[in-house]
Amino acid sequence: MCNNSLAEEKFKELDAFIDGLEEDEGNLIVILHKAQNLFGYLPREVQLHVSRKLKLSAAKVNGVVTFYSYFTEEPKGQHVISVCMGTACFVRGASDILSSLQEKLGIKCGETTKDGKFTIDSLRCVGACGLAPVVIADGRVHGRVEIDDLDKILVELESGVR
Amino acid sequence: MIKIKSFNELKELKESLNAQREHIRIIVGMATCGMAAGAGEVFDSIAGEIMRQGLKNVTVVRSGCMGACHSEPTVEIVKPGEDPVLYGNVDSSRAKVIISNHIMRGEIVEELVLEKNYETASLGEVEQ
Amino acid sequence: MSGHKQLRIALRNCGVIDPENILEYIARGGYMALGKILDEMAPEDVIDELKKSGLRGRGGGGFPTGLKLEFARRNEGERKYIICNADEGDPGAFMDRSILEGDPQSILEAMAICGYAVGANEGYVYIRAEYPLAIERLTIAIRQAYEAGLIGDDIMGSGFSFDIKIKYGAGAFVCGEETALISSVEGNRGEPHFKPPFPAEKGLWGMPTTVNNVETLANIPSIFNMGAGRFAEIGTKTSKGTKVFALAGNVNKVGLVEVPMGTTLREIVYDIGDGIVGGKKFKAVQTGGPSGGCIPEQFLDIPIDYESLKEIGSMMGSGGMIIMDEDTCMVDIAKYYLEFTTDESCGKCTPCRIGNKRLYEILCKITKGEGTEEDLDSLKELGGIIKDTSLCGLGQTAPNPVLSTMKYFYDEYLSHVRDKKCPAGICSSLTRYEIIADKCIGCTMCAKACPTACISGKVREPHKIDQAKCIKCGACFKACKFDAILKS
Repeated sequence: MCNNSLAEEKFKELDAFIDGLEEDEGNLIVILHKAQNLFGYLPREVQLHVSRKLKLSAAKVNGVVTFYSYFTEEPKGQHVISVCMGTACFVRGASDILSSLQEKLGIKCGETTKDGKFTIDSLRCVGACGLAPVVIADGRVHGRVEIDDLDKILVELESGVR
Repeated sequence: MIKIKSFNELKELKESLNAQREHIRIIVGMATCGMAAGAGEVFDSIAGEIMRQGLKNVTVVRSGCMGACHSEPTVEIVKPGEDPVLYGNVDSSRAKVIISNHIMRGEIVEELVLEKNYETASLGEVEQ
Repeated sequence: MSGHKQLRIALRNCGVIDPENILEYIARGGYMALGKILDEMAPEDVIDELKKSGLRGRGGGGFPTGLKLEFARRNEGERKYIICNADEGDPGAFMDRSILEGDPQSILEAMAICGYAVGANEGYVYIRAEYPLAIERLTIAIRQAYEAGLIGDDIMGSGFSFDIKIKYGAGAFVCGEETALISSVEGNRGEPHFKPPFPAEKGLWGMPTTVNNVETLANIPSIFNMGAGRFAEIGTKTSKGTKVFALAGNVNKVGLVEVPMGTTLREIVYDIGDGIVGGKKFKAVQTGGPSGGCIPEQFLDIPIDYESLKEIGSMMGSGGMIIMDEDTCMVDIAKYYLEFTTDESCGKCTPCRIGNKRLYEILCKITKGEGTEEDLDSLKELGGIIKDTSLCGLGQTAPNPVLSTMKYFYDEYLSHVRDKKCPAGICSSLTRYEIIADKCIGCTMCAKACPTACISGKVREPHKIDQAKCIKCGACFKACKFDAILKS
């Protein structure tokens, strides 16, 4: 993880967020959400920082981080492509979409390409079942996706054109 | 927003709100499904067209899911004293047709109409 | 009565009002129920009215809501809490999301009503972080309700105060279980606890707590506005009111539907959903998500309610309803759900952590064509044990997708283990592609499409597939324009 002033800024922002919260024992998850927003993921350093700040054991913090699938200890690529694997999407061919995407990028689900550009993820159901199968590319929902659409989605992500 | 300090004030507010309702309402379904299908652009295009045509008496409403996920984006037109009309598979250009035909000339755009296959339980007035 | 099959009570305002404007909710009668209750009803009367309405929890279990509130009211506690369970985790369900995005004020009003009934002054909405739009609208709704004095201190001059805060989930299906949800609200790993003590006795921070699902809450203001008696006229003997279903899968009109309890599956699939995509044959409908089961055609005409669905091996669940056509492999579906539950099992109790894993492994074996008939017996036996011995609802219901598909589609399991065939042609290890020499004109399209170059043959002469190299991807099948490739 980078040790520059940028990271310092982020730690400062995280501390300010924690200080601004109402006293509540149940704040750990909210704080981890904020930290992941800031850093993109939750490396050891960030987890330790949170545990010291909240006076909780590092084991407790790590226990919570690893329990919830929303939190990640690995950095993600520049672009994240998530394939919805909810039942509606599954019935409408989401697994074919996922395997084709894995083949195209040469990585497995949950991995990031070597150049750090793309991460493939699977999601549990985003509730857009009416548009199944659904692929979410950098937060944008693509509905009724076919295998032939994937190249276009990848190119769009890379070029930043939407 | 004024603070409501009693049940009576709430009742009065409700009545005054309903007395003002002679506007035409254009409701755009903007839940996650609708947004993914392009409801945001449809909303912008409707709002822009209303401005351009200088239409008064029309409110464009961002609403939640209307349930017709198979035909998103959906738009409903509610004219006072008329049955509401639900349109499906609306895009920016179709939205403009709906405004010029339905809103301005009163002609329903039949080919885009979705059958509304539900009724809403009447809320029933609170027994006084 | 009009001929409509749908009746909207929980969804009454969805798609009608602007969810970001509290005045639109008020104009439609919003907060009238709360106003009336605070003005003229005692907490006990509120509970009685809910009991009279027959409302049961819409999150899955179907526990009577009035009774739940009564338990929390009776238990002593320094503070009490109301929690709204908006951790909609069933894959293929989006009822709660739609209500939160379309009518968030109704949830706040209902939480305040529950708070008054049990004597709680604090409420939490526990919502999935995966629903950013719902979170945004809920946040706006809470701010506006505070500004209008409809939640907060001394609501409408009644002396009753009620605060509402949001807590975020972080992607754990088990947190839909109420004890796990409570530990997540407390900022811990979302692991369930043994019941008793029930949350109504010792819930959040050890205080009496009531957890209600979004759709359950959305019904509550309507019950007071329309009268419990009128609400109880809708539905069946044991299940009152309506149920919202997220209709999805291989059905023409995918969407959100709300029907009176007692409507048949046939009415939902064919009248409302307009039948199966592409005119294919109906195979099964899955209800209850990973806790439910697959219902075959023979039950399309039973009136659905909590009891009838349970009788046929499924459950109401939160309301996901996935329609499957003839091209769906039921073993594959069972495997899909087991993969889900093994992934989501919190790992606290052994039957769920290890038992479901073993079920999943057996299913994998079967779909690869390596299963035996003894494996089918093991599935049944192990499934029964997991149901009986797991700690929480997740484990207790996890074998349902296997057991129900085995009950109704046993032939399909047998084809997999005995004949090593997948009748629906989904399990790729059991699929075989062959070129019919008579039909092949030697256009070479299949050979060009084949990723492993296992198709050989000269131009204008019939081609051949090298079965040893074939990976069964189906590319040749899709590429052939002359129906010369046989998939079996």
